[in-house]
Amino acid sequence: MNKVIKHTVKFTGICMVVYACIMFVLCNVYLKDVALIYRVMNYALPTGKFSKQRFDDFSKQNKYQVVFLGSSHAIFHYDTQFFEKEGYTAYNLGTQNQSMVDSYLILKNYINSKNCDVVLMDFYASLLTAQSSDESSINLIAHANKISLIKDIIVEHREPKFINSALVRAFTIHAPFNEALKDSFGYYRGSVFSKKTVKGNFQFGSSSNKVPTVNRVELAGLDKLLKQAKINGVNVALCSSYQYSQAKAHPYLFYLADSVCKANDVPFLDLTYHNKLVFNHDFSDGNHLNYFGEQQYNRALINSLRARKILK
Amino acid sequence: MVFKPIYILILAVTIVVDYYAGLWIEGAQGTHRKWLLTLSVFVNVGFLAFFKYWNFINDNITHLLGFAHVENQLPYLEILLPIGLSFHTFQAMSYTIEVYRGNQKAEKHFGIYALYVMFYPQLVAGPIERPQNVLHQFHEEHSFNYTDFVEGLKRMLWGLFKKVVVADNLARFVDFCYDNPNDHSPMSLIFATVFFSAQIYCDFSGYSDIALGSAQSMGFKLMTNFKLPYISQNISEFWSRWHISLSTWFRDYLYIPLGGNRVKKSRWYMNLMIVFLVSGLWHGANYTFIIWGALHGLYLIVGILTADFQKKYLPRFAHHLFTIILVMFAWIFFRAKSFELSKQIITHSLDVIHLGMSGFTSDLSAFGPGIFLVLLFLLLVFFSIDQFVSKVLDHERTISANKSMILFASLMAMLLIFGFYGQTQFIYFQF
Repeated sequence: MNKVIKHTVKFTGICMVVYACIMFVLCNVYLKDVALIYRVMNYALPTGKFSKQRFDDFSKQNKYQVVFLGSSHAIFHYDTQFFEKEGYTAYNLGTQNQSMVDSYLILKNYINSKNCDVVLMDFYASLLTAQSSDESSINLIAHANKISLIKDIIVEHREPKFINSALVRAFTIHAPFNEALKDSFGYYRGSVFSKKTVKGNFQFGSSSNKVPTVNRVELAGLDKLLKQAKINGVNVALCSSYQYSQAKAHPYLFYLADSVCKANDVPFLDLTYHNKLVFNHDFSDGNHLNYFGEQQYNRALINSLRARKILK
Repeated sequence: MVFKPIYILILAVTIVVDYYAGLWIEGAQGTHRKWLLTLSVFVNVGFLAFFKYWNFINDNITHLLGFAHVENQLPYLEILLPIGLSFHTFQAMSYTIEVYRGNQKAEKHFGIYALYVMFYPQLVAGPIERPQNVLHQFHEEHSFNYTDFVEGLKRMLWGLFKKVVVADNLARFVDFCYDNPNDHSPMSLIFATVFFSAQIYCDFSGYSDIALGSAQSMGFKLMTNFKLPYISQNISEFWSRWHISLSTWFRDYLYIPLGGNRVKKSRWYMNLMIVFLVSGLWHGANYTFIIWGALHGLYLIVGILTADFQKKYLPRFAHHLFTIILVMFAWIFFRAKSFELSKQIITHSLDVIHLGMSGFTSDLSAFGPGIFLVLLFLLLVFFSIDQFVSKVLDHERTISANKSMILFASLMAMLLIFGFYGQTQFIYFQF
């Protein structure tokens, strides 16, 4: 038995030394101002947009009445300025391609009854069909300002690439991030506003009646998020923001999300197709609303939140 | 990949049929033995034909009847190919054939026979074992052996390295080029073909190493499936080094019963062609696989016809070069999803007018030039250590315990850093 332990310790030790040496070299040798690690496959440079700033700014104020979670949909569709004009302090914690599992981990580590009253989790159908959350998790590891979140991502996903990402961050201090979105004209408490409109015709893929393959891990992530919100003492609601009517999603995915909400006694505000938006006026691309579309959505959302007494 | 519990019945039926067929063949006399063997082979091949070839045969019937303006009434079935079907049916058949030939005693213990067919390390993608090699091992008592355990883990790690670091990363460039061959430059397609040759070797031999290693760590020895095939000097040698368990299966149970090379020359060539056509068909119900098999059959026949010329006029390196080029060319048909696509890949690869660098550089900038360079680097690293590590694992070369630990710990570290952890599966799982 001693032999087994001795060999295991020795093997692990050598492996860790070699691992750290390779990582150190890859992170500290630069090629055209970019660390070599980002020239190696599996390590796409995380642009992160405002991710780091978003986490840093969040802790500057003690409490927000509303906090938004989600991917770029949340960043562009939930307007913190609009909510403030309506009398609610708000913060947008949406991040690049944020998966529901990662939303749950952000909520677990950042949001509680001391800094938030209501969490609005953005939902759209393809969140449940995405087969990978790598971009989301790697971006969070590169930009989050709490080690506990990074640790939770590694533990939750149990994949070596996230340990690598954490080590890349350790060796490179933190990944560089863009100053601003090129097509956006503003950033306020996490929300980003875009005036860009879709030019010309946008081709949507033909919608299929076939039941899509559901990523059960993400669905379980939604369930964990709703349960964690209760543990942390914050109210939570699932919201589905305006989509263009031609970009039809399979109703089964909405049914699944609704079922999870019902099981957790959480409201689901499905406003997906309840709009009369003009594609070439209210959208900045095939997936995201621009400033004009977002204003209409936020008006409808606040009305809905008030009607259901989620906001007073 | 989908798990269908009902498919376990296929395994159950073949096990029961072959178990009793083995017992009855041993006890029977005269023509009864032949009839029992035929029944067993019929059941095994029947399952294979139904699940793997029904729709392929049906499509061909539709085409043939189409010439006579007759509609095919046979239904097209939505059936999934049960994972590992081609492997375990061949393994089961080798048992009844060996019992029939008197080389193997029929297994009396049902559980041990079932284990022979279902032994998990090699159930889904081989090696296709012979009863003489493994059945006796299941009767022996196995106690924990530290050396075997560690050697097994080393082999598994090497297999995992080949699969996750080399094959899966190379696959990204191969998929990038082969999915839309017309959108890529001839140079990119040539690189993709070279990469695929390395990918399929690392993917399949990686699986075999994992199977052998996991069996070894439990104290069982499975047959070697790969012996550095790309160092072969001719196609015949290639097939003695590539997927050895399948090539020897075809040799023992098809080629030799057909007469092997102890017949007239024309018949010998036909035997070779039959074996490789069946081998192609075994891989998949698609004409691309049949062409791949036919090409290898043709290579062998031409190799035999020109053997004297080759010996006299070709230097040693040219033997290697020609062999590897021929093998790579055949892989195009193996990898392409259809005959049309393989035609596009070949014509586009041979488009010498556009062989320049401009299209290649634009392909590289779309794929990522850094990633491409890393792929080349990994390929070089792999082929420079493949022979060394394989020899260490096979005890053909000895290194000190400390050096061995450094070698495998470094492979582990590289696996963690350079491994591609996406949703991939082994290529041979589809067969």
